[in-house]
Amino acid sequence: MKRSPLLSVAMPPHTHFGISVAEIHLNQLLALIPAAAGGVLLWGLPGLRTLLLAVGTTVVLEWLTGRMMKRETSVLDGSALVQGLMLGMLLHAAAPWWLVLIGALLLVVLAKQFFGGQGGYLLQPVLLTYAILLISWPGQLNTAWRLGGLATAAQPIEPLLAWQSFGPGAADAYPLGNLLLGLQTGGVASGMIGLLALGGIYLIIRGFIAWRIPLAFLGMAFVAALALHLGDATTYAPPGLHLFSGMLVFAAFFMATDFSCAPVNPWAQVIFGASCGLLAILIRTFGSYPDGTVFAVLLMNLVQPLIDRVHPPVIGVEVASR
Amino acid sequence: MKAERFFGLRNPRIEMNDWQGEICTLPPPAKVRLPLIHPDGTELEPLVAPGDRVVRGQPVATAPDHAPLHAPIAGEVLESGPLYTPAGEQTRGLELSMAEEDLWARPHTLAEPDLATPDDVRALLVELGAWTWATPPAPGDEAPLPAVDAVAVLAIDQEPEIAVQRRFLMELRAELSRGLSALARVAGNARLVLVVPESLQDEARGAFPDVELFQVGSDYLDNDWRLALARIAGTGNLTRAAARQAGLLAITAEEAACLGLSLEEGQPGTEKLVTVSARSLPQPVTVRTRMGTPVNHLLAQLDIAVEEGDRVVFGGRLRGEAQFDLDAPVTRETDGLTVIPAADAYCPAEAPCINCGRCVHICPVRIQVNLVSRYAEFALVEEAFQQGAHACIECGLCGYVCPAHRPLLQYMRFAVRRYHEALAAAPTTDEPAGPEAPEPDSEPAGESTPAVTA
Repeated sequence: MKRSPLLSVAMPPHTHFGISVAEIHLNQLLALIPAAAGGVLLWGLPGLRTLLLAVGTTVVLEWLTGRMMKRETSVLDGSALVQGLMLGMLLHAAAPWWLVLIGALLLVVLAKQFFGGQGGYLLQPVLLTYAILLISWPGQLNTAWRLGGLATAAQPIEPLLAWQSFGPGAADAYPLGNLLLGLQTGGVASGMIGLLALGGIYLIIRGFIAWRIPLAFLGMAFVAALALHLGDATTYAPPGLHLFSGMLVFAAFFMATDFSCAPVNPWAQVIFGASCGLLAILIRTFGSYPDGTVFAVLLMNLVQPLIDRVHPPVIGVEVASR
Repeated sequence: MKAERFFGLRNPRIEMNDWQGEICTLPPPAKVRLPLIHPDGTELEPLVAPGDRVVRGQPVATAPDHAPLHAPIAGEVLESGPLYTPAGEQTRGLELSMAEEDLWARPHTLAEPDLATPDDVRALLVELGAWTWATPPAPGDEAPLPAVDAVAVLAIDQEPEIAVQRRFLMELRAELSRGLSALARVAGNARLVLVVPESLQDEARGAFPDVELFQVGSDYLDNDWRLALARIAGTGNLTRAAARQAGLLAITAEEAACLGLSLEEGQPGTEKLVTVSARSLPQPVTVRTRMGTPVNHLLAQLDIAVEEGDRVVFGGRLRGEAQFDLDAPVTRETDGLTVIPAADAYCPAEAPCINCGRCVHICPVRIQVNLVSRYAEFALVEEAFQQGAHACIECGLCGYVCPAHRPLLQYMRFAVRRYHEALAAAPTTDEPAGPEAPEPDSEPAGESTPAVTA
């Protein structure tokens, strides 16, 4: 008699919607590529060098750390690729190689693997890395200094810094159209406002990121900047300048939406995004860093578990509250 | 199974399939296997021994105060030994072989049908194994069940590809009609509600003009029994056991039809409708087969070849149970049989949660699946039920959308199971106990008593 075939047994569901973590990361990569390409166009070979260095070292380190921990490699899920690229886009075109290397090391080892890898971290690893670099080597990351030698179409000083240093008149040198096109100094591609927003909208339409976070983020940033500007138009920059300069848009679409450290419940996402936006404007206006977005998001990352407790009650059972 | 999506802006929507097709009755199998277990989970004692000859409809196992189990075929008792239920739990079982002549046992009818009280009718139905739930409260019972004030007859199916209960609104409506009148005799003046899918409402209204209809939509979740019962009762979400505690008796259309058969013909139900879906079939087919039919027989009759590595599932793709044995028998809970080729058989992986929130957004009862699954993963049961894990209706959608391919439904079930184990272990809870909990889906009441230790 024929032996009955060996059946495969697994828990339900026995079918899947057909989406994977790698697919999400590849789509994020796809959304970042236009902005990265814009950055290379603006900064030329030095920009490309920073991007490639960051991506390469991050991916290699991700593979190496996984191997050292004798784990199945996590390179294939694409997270290192995306995060490496984001780091490269934040750093400027003239960043020394060792700075990029230290950044990649911090990103992979400290910000990611120490917390348990993809999904485990509490703080957005790219932002955490950037914050550490910014505090440790402020001179190296001062773009106005470092990028002076590179001839580009961008004004040598960051728009917000110019406003704070030279007053409202300085804004005339920064037409919003130019800023939207990314003609501003800063990271290789962190200022590519238009292209980054385009990528972000792509991710939203495809359902890869939560739309509430960037909307609340940018909406609140606009409202807060507008309120300040209306209060004192000569001291506080107009909301357009705030939104279109620095890494606000980059952070709103790509960093604040990082699943691991963002809330998942609808209202929690709104609160989280709005708080990020408000904090970013407050730090920019009253803090010592011209672009405080990085700290705003990191601070909100810390309180994300608390915010995520804002959720609708479970249907059907009474749950004793703690 | 088709899932609609609108870019990524909306949750995938799973529509119930809406196909028709003749119901054919399969020839009886050469052997049947019967798990000796009552729908409420009580183990039954065999009344026959290996070597005994039985006739179709003869009681073969019973337990005190419970409906007995009847032989679905006439033949000989081959073996009495361990058997696995579809959910993979070991229980005692009987194996019967088919005799040449499929003789029926003597019908068992009411002596004077016109004078019978509802209690007499119910006693007969219990005797025939048709009334398996809501036994009247025994004297001295500490927490007697409340009187039934509504009966919900579920003519809806729980899986998109299964069409068993719905069939009782279509070609089998005569059987259901007989069942509903039997039910009316037992249920006294309880309100009778027939739960029907939107697509069949006209048929239902035409066939059962006197019965109150409750309509549900064409979405997979609209057809969930717990959610439908909850909407009838006006609360959150109800297991069948919890609904009974609230005075709402929930029975499937097939169970109702069986009541009619037993009352009118004096015979126990020995057949079961099963929807079989497999790639080799152009569309799923619903067949009528004997209880206890092994999977092998169904597959052979429908010419479905099973290869190495294929998956054979009792139920549907979203919440069915994979079987390891092709001799596994059809039981009264088996509405579907799904054969999935090895290439399509989805296997979850042990992967970390990336907290994307898709499971949370799709959960119909708003469980924080991202948290609960991680609690369950690390056996933090108390935290899991503080998040309301025990509200889970086991629809399987969280696992269906998880991009990390985590076995989310399994984690939820684990948490819920540990919760009930903890409840059972804690003697001070006021959780109702006893044989009256009529829960064929294995979970006892999950409502209103979240306290375990805390």
